Amino acid sequence: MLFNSFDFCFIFFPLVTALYFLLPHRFRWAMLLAASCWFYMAFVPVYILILGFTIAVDYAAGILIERSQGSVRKRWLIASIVANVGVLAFFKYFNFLNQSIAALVQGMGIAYTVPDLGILLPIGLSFHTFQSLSYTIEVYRGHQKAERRPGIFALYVMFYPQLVAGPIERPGNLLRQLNERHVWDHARVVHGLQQMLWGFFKKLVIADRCAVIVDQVYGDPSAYDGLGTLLATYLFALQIYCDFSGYTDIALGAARVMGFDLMVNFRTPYRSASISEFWSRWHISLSSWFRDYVYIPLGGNRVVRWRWFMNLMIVFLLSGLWHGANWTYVAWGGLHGLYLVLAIVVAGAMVWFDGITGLVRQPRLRRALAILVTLHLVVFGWVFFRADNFAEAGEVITSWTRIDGSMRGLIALAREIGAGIVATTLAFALVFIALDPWADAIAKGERSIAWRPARFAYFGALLAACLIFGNYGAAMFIYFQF
Amino acid sequence: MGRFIRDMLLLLFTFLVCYLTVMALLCSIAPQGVPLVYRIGDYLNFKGGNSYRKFQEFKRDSVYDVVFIGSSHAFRGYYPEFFARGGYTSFNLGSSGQSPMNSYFILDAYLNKANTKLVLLDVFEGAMERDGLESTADLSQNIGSDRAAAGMALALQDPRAVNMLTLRWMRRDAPPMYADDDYRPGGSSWRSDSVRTRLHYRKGHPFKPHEQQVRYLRKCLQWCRDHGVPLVLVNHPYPHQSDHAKHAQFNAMLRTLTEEFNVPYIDMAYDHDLDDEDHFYDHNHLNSAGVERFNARLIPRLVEAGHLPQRP
Repeated sequence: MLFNSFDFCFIFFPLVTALYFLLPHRFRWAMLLAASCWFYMAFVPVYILILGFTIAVDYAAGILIERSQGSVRKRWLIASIVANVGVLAFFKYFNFLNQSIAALVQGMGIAYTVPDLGILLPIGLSFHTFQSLSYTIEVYRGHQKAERRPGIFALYVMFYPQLVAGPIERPGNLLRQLNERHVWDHARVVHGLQQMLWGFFKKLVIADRCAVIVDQVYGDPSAYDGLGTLLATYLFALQIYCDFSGYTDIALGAARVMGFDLMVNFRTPYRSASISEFWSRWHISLSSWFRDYVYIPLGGNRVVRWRWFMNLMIVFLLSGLWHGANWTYVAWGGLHGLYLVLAIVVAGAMVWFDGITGLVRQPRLRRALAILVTLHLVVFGWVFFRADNFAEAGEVITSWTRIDGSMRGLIALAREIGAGIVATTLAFALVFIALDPWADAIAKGERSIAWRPARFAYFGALLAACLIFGNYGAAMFIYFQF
Repeated sequence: MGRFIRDMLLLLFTFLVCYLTVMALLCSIAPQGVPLVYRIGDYLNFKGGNSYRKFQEFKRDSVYDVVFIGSSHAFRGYYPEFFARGGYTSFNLGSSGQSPMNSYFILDAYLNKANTKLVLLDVFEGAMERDGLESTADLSQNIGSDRAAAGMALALQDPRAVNMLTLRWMRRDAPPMYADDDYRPGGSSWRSDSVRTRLHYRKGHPFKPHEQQVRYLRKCLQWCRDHGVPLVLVNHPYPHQSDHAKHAQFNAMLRTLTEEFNVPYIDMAYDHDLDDEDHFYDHNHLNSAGVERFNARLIPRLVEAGHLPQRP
């Protein structure tokens, strides 16, 4: 079920929330679990069996790890990892691997006839697999007690607000809260709804409007000049941020209404002054997952320099692959790994540069310049993320060398989509960029509008903007496919 | 809880103020004569054209031998002038993209046992696969009945319907913004040109009916039965090169409904001698020469089956 659907907004969410507070505490987990199954089965019902398999394996693995000693513990952990990664590999990467092998083998003139699997990727598979894995790893490390109640553990994996696109929760945060008794708290409920509304605004008014222009240009980049493809790439940066962080805000808000605090997943990432800062503010639950369960076990930065660089590259190549079974995602991840390696290599030179240019005495200017550079490095990376293949990415990038000051591409875009739609989308994009830090802090409850009429006017205006300017034609959230 | 309800009501109030103010501004600021509201999205239709004219022209207190409803196949495929040659009075209430959901609200608002002796519903698989947005966008601006406009907008279960109804309300006194030159009295639309180039016909896509449209087609059949209005389903000619397999799947779905309600179904999709290029003006709409031949064959079949009376 999509958050931006009639069924979710007017039936599922009000009904589940009302039932949650009306039911006695001891029945709530069962109701939430049933509701989460309903939520998930609205997509492809049969895929609940895959979730069931993951839950059964990790529930048993958690108990077995806790009961065992020495190398047996490790064996159960490995069994859990193999089962989870096996499911992921089968459903998400089999066709990718098969097609890659076919291309390689056929390139050598050898016949290859292994067919692709005719299956759909289960929605949110990478998210709940990683969430479930974090549980067994934490139990193995002794940071988490094994959960004995299968229903509670199933709810930990399936909790509907974050089931299909995160945040990828940790047992230390969510599992604990599933046992807590939550009471109706007016301020918390209102804050949750406000955060949901901000999420809907980002999704419907910003992301889905940008998507119209981005899809048009990336559908046939050769039809547009450099200015058109550049604009589409900037708008894609905005689209993916608003799409994913909008989803996260709705998820966090829906959970908060019921009394749950999920992980913060975004902190205005495009205001980062370095790529490493960007990754501490973008999809935080995934980057911290890779940090805790891959990067640090590999030795992190406490190894010789070349190993450190290799660790970074491994983590980011895996992160790219996590996003999608396509070499363009791997390239996107690799590019970010390369950015980080280069940042370490040139760190000394940057200190020297700051000194000779005087930027060291202008910290605000230095940060502003660093933000600008970081933003453009990230935007460049998004080309690989959005393009269907390397040829398309190459076409977009080479088109930028042909920017000649003419407005042909923009005029063509306005003609095809409608000048009014392009103009309102750009206007909303600019307003959003200016207001995001302030509005984001309000949505997260970190600040508020003190004057009550102004507060109501602000949220009333957001709601009206969603209704009037929202693009209701686009449906899915980008990150659902991961 | 009382405080929560009070806050929600306050939010609703501020939302309404903001929403109506912005919509009023968008409706009243009209650079180059076109209100800004039409530029915020691609789903708000202009008032005017074929649909506007026919609902102005249709008289509820007249008596028609046959009223046609359905998608563009209906208003481009059944000409009251040709039916008049056989001595039958008729009116065409078909409209662009009209789905069974839209047809149901038209039936309910405009037709009854006294003014309609036969409803001819043109059934087309394309209309069954849609959500009804296209037709609701058109009819919400152009249909005369507020009840029908509100009914189909609410049935759509899409927030865009709220904007459509607000636009209808705000521009209810505005004159139509354009006219359809192909429109003919009686509600049909004539095109005399033919397909000039070889067309590509999509094939191999299975028939996937929209759940709501199946439900509303059933409601249309039920409505006619409850109100004692005779109904016949007709499938107008398709080009021979189009997807026969998909049409067969559609017929299989339709058969269960026609048998359940005992409603006659005349399938002329491929039961015709029309030429794919000479008698069609695009990949699935008849031109006037095609309609003339089709209607000339259809009328005797309706008479033979007793759906229309014998006229001299």
